[in-house]
Amino acid sequence: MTGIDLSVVLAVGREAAALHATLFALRRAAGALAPGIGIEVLLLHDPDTSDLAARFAGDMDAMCLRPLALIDPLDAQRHAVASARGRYLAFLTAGDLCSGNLLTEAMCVIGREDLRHSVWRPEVIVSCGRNYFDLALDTVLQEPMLNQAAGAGLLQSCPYATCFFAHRAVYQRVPFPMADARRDWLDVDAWWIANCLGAGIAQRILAGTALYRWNAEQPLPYATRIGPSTLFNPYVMP
Amino acid sequence: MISEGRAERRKPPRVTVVTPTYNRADLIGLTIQSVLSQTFRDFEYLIIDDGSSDTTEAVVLGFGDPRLVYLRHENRGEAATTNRGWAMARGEYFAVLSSDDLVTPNWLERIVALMDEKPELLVAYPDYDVIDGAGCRQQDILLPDYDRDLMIGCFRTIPGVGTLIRRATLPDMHRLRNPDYRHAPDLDSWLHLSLRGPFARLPERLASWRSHAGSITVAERNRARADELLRIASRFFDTSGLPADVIRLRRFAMAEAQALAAWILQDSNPLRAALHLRQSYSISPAQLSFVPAYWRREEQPDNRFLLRLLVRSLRHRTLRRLRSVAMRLPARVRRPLRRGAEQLGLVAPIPASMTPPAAPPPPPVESNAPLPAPLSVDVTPPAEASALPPAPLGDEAQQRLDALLPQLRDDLSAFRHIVAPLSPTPTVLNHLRAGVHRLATPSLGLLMSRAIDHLPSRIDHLLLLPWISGVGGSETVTARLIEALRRLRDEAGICIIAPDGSQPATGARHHNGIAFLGLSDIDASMDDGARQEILDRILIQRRPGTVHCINSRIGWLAFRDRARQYAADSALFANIYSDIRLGDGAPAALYYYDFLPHCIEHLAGVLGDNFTILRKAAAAFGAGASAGERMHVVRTPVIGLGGGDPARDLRLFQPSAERRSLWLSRIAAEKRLDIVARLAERLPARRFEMFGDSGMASVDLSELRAQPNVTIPGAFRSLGDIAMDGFDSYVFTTSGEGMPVALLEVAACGLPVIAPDIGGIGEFVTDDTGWLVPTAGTVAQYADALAQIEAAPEEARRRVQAAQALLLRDYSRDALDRSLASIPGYLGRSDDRH
Repeated sequence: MTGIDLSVVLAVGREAAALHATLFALRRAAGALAPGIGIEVLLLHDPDTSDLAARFAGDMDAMCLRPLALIDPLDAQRHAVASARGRYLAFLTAGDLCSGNLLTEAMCVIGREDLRHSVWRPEVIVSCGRNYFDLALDTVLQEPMLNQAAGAGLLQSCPYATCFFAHRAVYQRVPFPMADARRDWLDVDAWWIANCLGAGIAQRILAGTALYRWNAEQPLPYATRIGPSTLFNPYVMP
Repeated sequence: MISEGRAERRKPPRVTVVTPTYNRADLIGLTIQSVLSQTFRDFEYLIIDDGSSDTTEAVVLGFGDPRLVYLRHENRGEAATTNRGWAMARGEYFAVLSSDDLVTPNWLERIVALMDEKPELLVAYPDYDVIDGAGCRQQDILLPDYDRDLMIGCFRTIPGVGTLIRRATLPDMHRLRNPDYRHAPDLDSWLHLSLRGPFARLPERLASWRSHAGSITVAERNRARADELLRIASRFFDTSGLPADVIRLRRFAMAEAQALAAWILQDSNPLRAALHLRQSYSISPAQLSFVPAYWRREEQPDNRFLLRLLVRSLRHRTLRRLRSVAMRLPARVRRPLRRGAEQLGLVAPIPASMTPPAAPPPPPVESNAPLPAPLSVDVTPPAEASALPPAPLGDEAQQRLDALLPQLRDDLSAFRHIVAPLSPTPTVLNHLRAGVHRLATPSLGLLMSRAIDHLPSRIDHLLLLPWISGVGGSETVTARLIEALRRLRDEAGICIIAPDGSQPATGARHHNGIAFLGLSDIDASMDDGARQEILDRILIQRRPGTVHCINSRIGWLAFRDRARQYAADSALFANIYSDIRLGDGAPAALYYYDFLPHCIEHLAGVLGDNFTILRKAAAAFGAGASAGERMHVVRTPVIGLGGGDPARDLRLFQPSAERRSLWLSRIAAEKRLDIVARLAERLPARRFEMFGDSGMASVDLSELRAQPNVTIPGAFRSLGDIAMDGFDSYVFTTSGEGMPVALLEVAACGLPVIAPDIGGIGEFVTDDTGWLVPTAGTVAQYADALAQIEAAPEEARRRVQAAQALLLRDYSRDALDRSLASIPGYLGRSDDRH
């Protein structure tokens, strides 16, 4: 491994099964890559789940799994960006399973485009319930290109998938809006996307790729809300 | 600022107990007594009368305990009444106690101790007993230990009397109960609260639930109640953003709701009850493993049983109606019909019991045996699952998804051993295709973008107004405030938004040189919710240094819901003017008291044009001294508006040989026009001329027009159009008021003023500056004042001069500028000022 090309920031969560599934999918996707591409996985954990992170840490095939302690839940993303070594960063949550071609497609895009002006996402998000019999399956096709007008709409509609990757420069140009998180506007991802759009950074998709979300548990932070809107707050009565 | 500091310095109580009541004069006394005799004493007790027509009010007021607050409004229903208590509550903990229930003296002591000991708890509930109308104990109720999945999955969430909620952790919840529900709003409320935090049982009997004929629960066990339960279940799962592990409980909860509906209807409509039970099994053949034995469903009724019920139902209901019709038929027609019915066995004697086999009621529970651990869903896969047809897709989405299917199948094949729901069976693939949808970009988002595009990139000072107009007192106040802001701040940083639907679409982008946005210009058809969301987004995106709401309903709603968040970036100000009450003393809808109590602690300042209204608000909402310090009187200037010497705008009093009185105000129902009519009738030698606009309101002027000495010129453009020399007095009548600008303007014109002591009028009109009649002024008092003016013009002149001295001191342009500059944060930081 000559260097780190891609850092995957993975919120460890609280269930070993979910973490295992995510890592399984990552290893599968990494296995499809050409040799010589360096990938690190930062296992972002809080004090309660440090044992879980430690259990999975170490080298796994071509990937280096590194625990990263979460000091402040509201500062998770920024802390991760500062700690990651890769030129490109992706964010995942335990229970997120990337499709086998996701990393391959990402590397193809890296090779042919200037990624400093885009955030890249899978084309389809498939959510599933805890067990087979729930049949709680949901398939969301992501929009190929979100424009400025959709930025505001984004905050009103279903949250965009939290899986994305982008060049480090994008994260430096548009930092995660932690100040807003501290005002209780907790859906940092959604706000960050809106701010990216405002800064002219497009949201784009990797054609033919998918992300599967196993809803084994709530991602961090548990109680999210998008801005001060009540429209999408699941914890406010209709 | 309220200089007298009358606002009480009161620490919020730890607990708020609310009792909604309606015609419970016979029982509420016992309820109140049980609350006031609590050993734990740090609580407030709000009794909210939902428009009782009996002596409830007298019973409540007879207690006279300072912790007890009695409020009354027109009948709105129990849920809305409880919500008012929720909105007004100041306590960290909150409890609702029906006006026929009782609590033991150590109720609060014990349950608060539990909540204090376990700060993670959201709700704590005790056991209770059931008493009859006479207070005799009938039954002990030992509740289960609820957790979220038990409450939702079993759809039986009934923490009972004496339940305590940790209100302080729910600042974003603006109502406790959904007023759409009449029979079980509490069930709906507990279901939603179960998403917010844990519940805990206190295994002590601390309360009594009264079962009696007047109890809604007993009297209305009917179809409406059953239907409502089904609606609650369905709508609960329609709540957006439910966690996935809650959504998975949907079919179990829906099945339980059907079973519960069956239980409710078993006596009154056994056929329908059986159908509900069938439906329950159809939705979910199995119940969750942790459903307690006493909540297990009855056996599924088979077709034979249904048929039997159908026949009985026909006999019991339909035939009874047919018989009454048949009795009116001729005998020759009736007899063959009867014989046919007998042959079919439809007219056999009706059995005494119409109920299906034993169906013991689920609640109440008489056991506190620990329940099995939740969350082990042991159900078999529905047989029909694999037969689900794929749903049609849009062309483009279909093509995209079809192109992805090979990859999906490949991934699912790899994942199936570790994530069972992703097994690539035909059922799963069909579901994936059937459920596909695209990320929505709702039109609201586009409207938001368009609204934001209309605005300047920087907003230092934002005014929220209901509309832009030059007519009316508050509009005059606003216009003068805008002029002051143009003088005192950088004009480029000021912006006016009219978010309410009352502002018509005009296409205007500026108002008097200031950036202006009317949301009706974006889309006039938007409802209030959409308008509030757009304003919300504007406040977030632009984060103005100062936001000042003057009578805008949408602005008030935004403050009420989100003031805490906005206050992080913006200094929030709101104007209040007057306290308008309806004829029976009930508050009028959507006045400041519907909003201010809920956001007062997050406002940087409350502005009013008189002390009286500010004192009243501070006292009514229990605002402490710190809130009192944030209340500021900003008087409306009427002289020196052009910037010159304000004394030049004052006219001396000129006694007129004619006996003519001026009446000038907005012509409206609350202006006590009846007094003017009777005054004119009493003083036929005096003429009364009435100037003013009635706007869109329809006002009955027939009584006035019947008086020969009353003329109603009506609307006028400016005071300059009215020949003041011809009048010797100004008569002002009203039943509700703040500080009328017209009164000040007329005083500047040199007329002696006669006005009632209502709202802030007494701050300007006194026996030294005019003639102040008591609040409920009589015709005789007005007539007496007019007689004094006629008899002693020198005294009238002296009083006019005294009034004008007040105008010079407090009601000039410079006085306004000084007032605004003295309000902390209103004009931004000093370097922002113009």
